[in-house]
Amino acid sequence: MDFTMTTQLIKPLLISALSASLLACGGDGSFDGGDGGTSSGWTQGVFAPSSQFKGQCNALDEKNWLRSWSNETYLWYDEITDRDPASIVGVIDYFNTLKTNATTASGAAKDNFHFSLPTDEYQKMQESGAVMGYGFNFKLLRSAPPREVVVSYTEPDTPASAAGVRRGWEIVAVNGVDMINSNDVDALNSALFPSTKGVQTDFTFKLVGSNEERNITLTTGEFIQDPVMNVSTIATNTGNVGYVQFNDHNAPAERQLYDAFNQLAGSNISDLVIDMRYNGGGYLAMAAQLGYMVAGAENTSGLIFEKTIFNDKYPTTNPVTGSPLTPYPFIDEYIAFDPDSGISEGTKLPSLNLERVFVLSSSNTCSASEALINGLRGIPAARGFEVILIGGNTCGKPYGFYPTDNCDTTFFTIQFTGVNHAGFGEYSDGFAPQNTPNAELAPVYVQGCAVADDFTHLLGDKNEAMLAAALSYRTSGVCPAPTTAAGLKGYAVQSSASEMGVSLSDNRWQTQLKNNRVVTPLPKELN
Amino acid sequence: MRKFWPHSLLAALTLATSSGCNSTVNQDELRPALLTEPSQQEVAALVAKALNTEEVNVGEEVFMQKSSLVLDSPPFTDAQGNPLMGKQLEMPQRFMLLTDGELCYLQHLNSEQLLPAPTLSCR
Repeated sequence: MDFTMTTQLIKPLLISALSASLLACGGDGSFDGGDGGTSSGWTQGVFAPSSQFKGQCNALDEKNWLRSWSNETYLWYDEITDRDPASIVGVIDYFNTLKTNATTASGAAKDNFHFSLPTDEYQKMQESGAVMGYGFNFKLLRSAPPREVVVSYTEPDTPASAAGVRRGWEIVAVNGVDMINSNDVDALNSALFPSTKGVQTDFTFKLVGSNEERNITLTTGEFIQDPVMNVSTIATNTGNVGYVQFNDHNAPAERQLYDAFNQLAGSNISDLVIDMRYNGGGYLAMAAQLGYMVAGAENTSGLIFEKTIFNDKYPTTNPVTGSPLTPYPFIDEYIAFDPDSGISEGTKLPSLNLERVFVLSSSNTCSASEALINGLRGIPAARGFEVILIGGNTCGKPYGFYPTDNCDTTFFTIQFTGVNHAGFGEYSDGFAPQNTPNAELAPVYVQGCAVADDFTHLLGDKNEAMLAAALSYRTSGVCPAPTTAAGLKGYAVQSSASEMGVSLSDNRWQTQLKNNRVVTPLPKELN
Repeated sequence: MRKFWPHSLLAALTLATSSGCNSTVNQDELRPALLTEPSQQEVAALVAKALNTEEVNVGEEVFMQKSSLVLDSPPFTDAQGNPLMGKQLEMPQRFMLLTDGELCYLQHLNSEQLLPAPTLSCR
């Protein structure tokens, strides 16, 4: 891809989401003729432009705005049951009705991603990759008693890594409060999800594979997470296998991926394992860069990585930015998400020119990470590229939003999805390895092996179950028997809502998700 | 330190002065800069002004080691612990600290706006 093409692709992205406004109003162009501010002005199926109600901060006009805005930009606008805005009192309650009630093939809700937030909270921006914490990431394998909270990995140069905290350690108490059974959720949440630096917390960890416990006091700090870790080469009898742990498609990741792939390109790699089990996504353009760096020019030239699709009122134009819809190619140039990363915009990216890639996955492999899987799977069969999935069912989120403000609330409604070069994008139940024993979902099955997250080994260790399965499958084509985390370490993978008692959750970021609030906390896994 | 943008872009930069008037910056005098001392609060205030928002969080070492600042929205997650904004089409908010040898300027790359930063000391 030449520089001009990159510029054309990225230019529309320069438009700030915060300042994005609707430049075009969709629908049939009809107008209800009334003021739209009273119930008598409502006519089913007739929509005034949302711009008419924008910034009119009374409940009825806020609902009128939501109704028109949803009709203009919601991906499945024609599946919304049109209700009189005056018939539902609360603005958020009305917003909650402005989505499809359809289900996927598995019976799961088609739209699980409908949110609102106070605008002042959403606009409280922070440095890309910055987190407040101790330097370890964890998974809530079971968020209600008997809870199971286990360290998934540590960040380098942090209090946790300095203290020797390691993957697989189970947190059994914080500040003397029993993590497993206590009902003092506030104490547990405030310790696990700190929002202030300089706070000391006494942790009791149970070490891997034993009942030995260790007390460690950690102090919170703010630091930039490493999105790319453990870049290494594993020598095998059938050639070198590269490994890279990729955690986040954020701005710092671009330079780190650039360095990682340059390193791997110089290591005579015949295969690559990308560990995205904890990668919830980020910038789609970065996924397109990664696709190029994996598969190379010969496999990807002239192909679409992902074509963004809005609702059928906007087949050629982004309704939010007003820009023409330009499919993402496999991007072969440095974008410079960070303008002072040391690599110039337009610099050619390295590539491994592989014929297949092994992706390690879990339920936290989401969005842009799934776009990478889908984008690479869209390479025509004639070019012979394979994606092999090792791990768990991915999250199933091909969708995206342009968060949009009105009257001090920021709304997230699904506005776009994406398809690969083959035109495929229906994976709302995620991707799953072909031998996944799961009757609850209807994922897109991908060549590979179902393997649970193995907390008994460090990430990048060739004996870690997912990586070991990838290495084994690479040579034999045979999967190990499907495993569960419980089988590997005695941790339950998840528990049902009916088992829930008092659950933990990240109150820093979740309690304000008004439409995501649940009466009975649901189990969830966090990194 | 290298420049990371074409001259044609700099030529088009608009300087938003404290008086509200606009003037053209002499492109040849501007270069990437670092702070002479940590100025977390001052930078946060300038950035918030550029973004027309009330508050942003920047680190203590902002502009001390490099001339850029990249901002994202807070990491809101869904019930499964996955990021709300897992598929982003737009660029992050990007800033560069610049100096003409005397004064500091904050450049917002997304809007190409250039803000004087009289509360900062650059090198």
